[in-house]
Amino acid sequence: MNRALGLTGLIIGFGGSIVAIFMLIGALRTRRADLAKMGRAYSLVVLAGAVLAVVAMQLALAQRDYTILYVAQNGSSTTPFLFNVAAMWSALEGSILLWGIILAGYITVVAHKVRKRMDDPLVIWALIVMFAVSIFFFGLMLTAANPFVANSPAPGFDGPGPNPLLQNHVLMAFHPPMLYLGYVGFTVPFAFAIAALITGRVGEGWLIETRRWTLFAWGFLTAGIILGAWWSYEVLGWGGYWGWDPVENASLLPWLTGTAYIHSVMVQERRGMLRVWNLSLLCATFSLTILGTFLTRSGVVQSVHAFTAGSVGPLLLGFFALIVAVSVGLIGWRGDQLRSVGRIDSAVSREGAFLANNLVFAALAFVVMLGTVFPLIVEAVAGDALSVGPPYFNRMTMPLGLTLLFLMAIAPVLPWRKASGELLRERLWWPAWFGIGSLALSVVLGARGIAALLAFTIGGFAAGSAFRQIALATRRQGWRGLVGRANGGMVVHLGTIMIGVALAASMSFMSQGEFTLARGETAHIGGHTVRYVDSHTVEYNNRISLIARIKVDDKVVYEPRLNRFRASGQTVPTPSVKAGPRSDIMLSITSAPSEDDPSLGLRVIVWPMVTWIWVGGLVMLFGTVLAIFPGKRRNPLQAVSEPTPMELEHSR
Amino acid sequence: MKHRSVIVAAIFGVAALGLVIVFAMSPAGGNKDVRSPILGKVAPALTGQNLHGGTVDLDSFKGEWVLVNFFATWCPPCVLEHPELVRLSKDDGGQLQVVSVGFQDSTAKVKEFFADNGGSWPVITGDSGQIGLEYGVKALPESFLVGPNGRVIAKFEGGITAKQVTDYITKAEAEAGADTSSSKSSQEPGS
Amino acid sequence: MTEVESSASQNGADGLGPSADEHVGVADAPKGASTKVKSRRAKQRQRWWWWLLMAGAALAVIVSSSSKPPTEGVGEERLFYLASQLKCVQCVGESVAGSAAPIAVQFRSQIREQMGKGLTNDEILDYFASRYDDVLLTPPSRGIGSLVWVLPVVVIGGCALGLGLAIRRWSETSGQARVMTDEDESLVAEALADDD
Repeated sequence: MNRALGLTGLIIGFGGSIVAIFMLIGALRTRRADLAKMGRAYSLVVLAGAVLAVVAMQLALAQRDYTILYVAQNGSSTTPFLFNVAAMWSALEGSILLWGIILAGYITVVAHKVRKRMDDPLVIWALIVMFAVSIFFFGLMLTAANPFVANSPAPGFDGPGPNPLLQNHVLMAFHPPMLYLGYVGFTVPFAFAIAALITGRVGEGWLIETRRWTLFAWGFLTAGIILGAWWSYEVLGWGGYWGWDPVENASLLPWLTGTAYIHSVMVQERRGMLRVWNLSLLCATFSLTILGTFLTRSGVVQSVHAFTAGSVGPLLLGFFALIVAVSVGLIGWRGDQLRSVGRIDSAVSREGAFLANNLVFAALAFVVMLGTVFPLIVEAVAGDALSVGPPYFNRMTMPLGLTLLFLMAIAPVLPWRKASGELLRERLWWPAWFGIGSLALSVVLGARGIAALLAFTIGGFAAGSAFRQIALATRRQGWRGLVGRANGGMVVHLGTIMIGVALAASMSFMSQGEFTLARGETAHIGGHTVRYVDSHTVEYNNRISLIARIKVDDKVVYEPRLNRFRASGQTVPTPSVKAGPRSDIMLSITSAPSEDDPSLGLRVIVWPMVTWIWVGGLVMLFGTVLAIFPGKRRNPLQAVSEPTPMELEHSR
Repeated sequence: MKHRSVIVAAIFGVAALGLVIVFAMSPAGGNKDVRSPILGKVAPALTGQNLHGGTVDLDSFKGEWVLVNFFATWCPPCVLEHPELVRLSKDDGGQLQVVSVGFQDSTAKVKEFFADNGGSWPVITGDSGQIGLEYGVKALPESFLVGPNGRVIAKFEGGITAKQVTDYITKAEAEAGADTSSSKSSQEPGS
Repeated sequence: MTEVESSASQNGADGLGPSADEHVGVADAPKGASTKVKSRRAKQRQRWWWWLLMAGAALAVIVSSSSKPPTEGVGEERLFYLASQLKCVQCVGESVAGSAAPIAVQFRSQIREQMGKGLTNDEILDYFASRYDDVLLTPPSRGIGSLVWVLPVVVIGGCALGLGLAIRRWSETSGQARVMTDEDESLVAEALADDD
């Protein structure tokens, strides 16, 4: 029953997308506006199909309907409610289903927003591109990644439940939807970019159309990445928040190009420059989300997050190749129309700083990409096996990250076109002192090491710049000085700086140790004492937990656990972390006391300033929300470059 | 200007194409070849306490084929693999000398395991973690085929079957025979 | 020329926050001072030697505090530094420092033992590299592996150079048409700021 319902939903979604494309292309050819006007109706059909499929899957999971293979593999009668809902995105097929419904949602909202302008070819083409992407994903679900494959379970069969690592923390229920809202969200600006290339209206109109969508997707992607880092910090514990794992890198890549785009698009809006570059960045961002999905799903790279292989890999790879081919082909074809209107007057200017920013982001993306695929390339070319791990990524990205921090200090105070040295010195005076102050403070507090101190100094400098901008804007405009892209952007900068400084501190000054403690025994680490009090076991529905009680500094009791999941037999530790403004203390059980050996294996990590990574993430999101609100009223088309009359006509 | 954008687009296109080809060529997880830097080298020293008190030394088996097997009683595929080892072992009527190393396991448990499941070849237990590292053991079970010349000829990751090993020896011996009969042999004396 | 002027006026007129910056020079200066004569304090800020002093002092402090990964002793810090350079061969995406797998525990006890014997960091890492295939997390600086180090430097350096040259060319061509000096421009900016 659920199966039939779900398959019906998928077919409706697939069929609806195909019909929509035919109708929209028909509308373009026959110039019949009434066909195009139905755009919203088509999108609603696709959305209805996706919702039907998701409802069927959730019903099946809730009823433990093991006649569906996916439920048999990922459901279990012992899984608690929340994780049972989240089981939908804990494996390959279900996560594609999540992708499908989010995409259908985006298409519907876009179609609703543009409903009054369905006679504009740019808008029609954008919808066609989105429906084409939707055909691919629904097609994927009907073929290689079908979530509704039939299964005939033995009587009394009970499934293993989702992967224990994924049931270990509430965050896992929210991290994938956030990430997907970000990933899929980039479909919208990509669709408009392709539409602009196809219609030849490559001016600034389509940019303004998609500005808010891009910010929206970027915000969710940021949230998704930070939630993912938080999850690995809380659950994996040992490896910290970021392990440069291929799948983590895959989510970082579109973020890097997307962030570069958010900055460089301002240059195009103001000066009409960088048209090719911006289009390329958007196409790169979208194709990287597909590449990231391919890396996660195909099993080509090994990763904690990767799902097992199937025939999905080649399909996703083919789709990636198609997107790249279409993008590159269109950009090459429209090359002559993409010529910049404006030019740069001086490197020391706002646009010069944005160019530098883009260079650094592109460099970061290149390094991350190269490091991720390099083992595969070497394997394919020379047949050697080698690893590219965190030491490489840390060493390569640190100088680039510091450069970004430095640009963050300089760029906000730079005027467009050209800045004089005098002006720069005047405006940077207080921010620079802020940097010096932050250096002095960290030295007094005992921080050492070139990288960390550089990060603190430049971070202080950059924070000073951001504060200066915010102070000036609020002094002039009151609360309105906080909203709008540029002002909200400064708040995002503050969050980023917090994260940068916290990363530097936690990487440089973390201390850790491994101890074997008998009951009542004490260990010392990083100025703290750790005493093993006692331990006991608790039986849960889906697992048996060993809970140790550890007293830190003779005050606070920590309770790290070692969980043994009944269904899979896997043992997964749950570290106990207590966060503080200065440092977090994390305890994790490495070996349980046994009859032979009653002592407890314990790993203790003192992480300085990690809390500020999460606080910084919140600040970034808050800033993004501020940036999405419109700032002081300004005609968006009052750009420096003179738009052609056609663009004026359509982008209002 | 048109030329330049076409050229840049082409460069990106070619780079992306290369990436796609590399990905398409890469085998999906788990199908990678078994590799080890110690292949072809003299097998690392292997001495230790036998289950029953005597000493075991790999060197004492020089001149014959030896299968060095790393296992643990807590590792399910190792338990599955055990009957195959029994079939292979010379001490139990097979054709090959087997030496096992219990990795991170207690002597008592290994003793009990062998009593329950059969097998009378030499087993080293106790402080055997170091030996595992010398051989480059990644995950249990793993087996190393040591040739009569004392060099590591092959490495097997995961559970093995008796046939897999005997086939390998037959092939290696045929090749060695062909090698010595043809010309410049790279084999060590005594092979 | 006309283009320069029109865009300069837009600089002041639009509502984006940072371009509101053109107001700054005035807002920061004392109220009574005219836009042409700056206060002594404001002038002081613009002296280059202040900046040199600041940068020099900061750099001196930073460089003098350099710290290197530990190279001797048997401390936990050195243990985890070495362990973080090695891949946990049994796990995916974890280093020996970051894993609870049995093999990682074995690796760490081996590192401890070798540190106790007084081996150098390189000797300890080599021990593992000669037994495990791709155990070093830092790619080698020789052979084909060195490409992963060289390529980014070449590509990023090349792009930076290209971008620098392009900007120079652009600013030279637009500079010919320009008669304004920096000072003129900042005067314009300040004057525009006054209008608001």
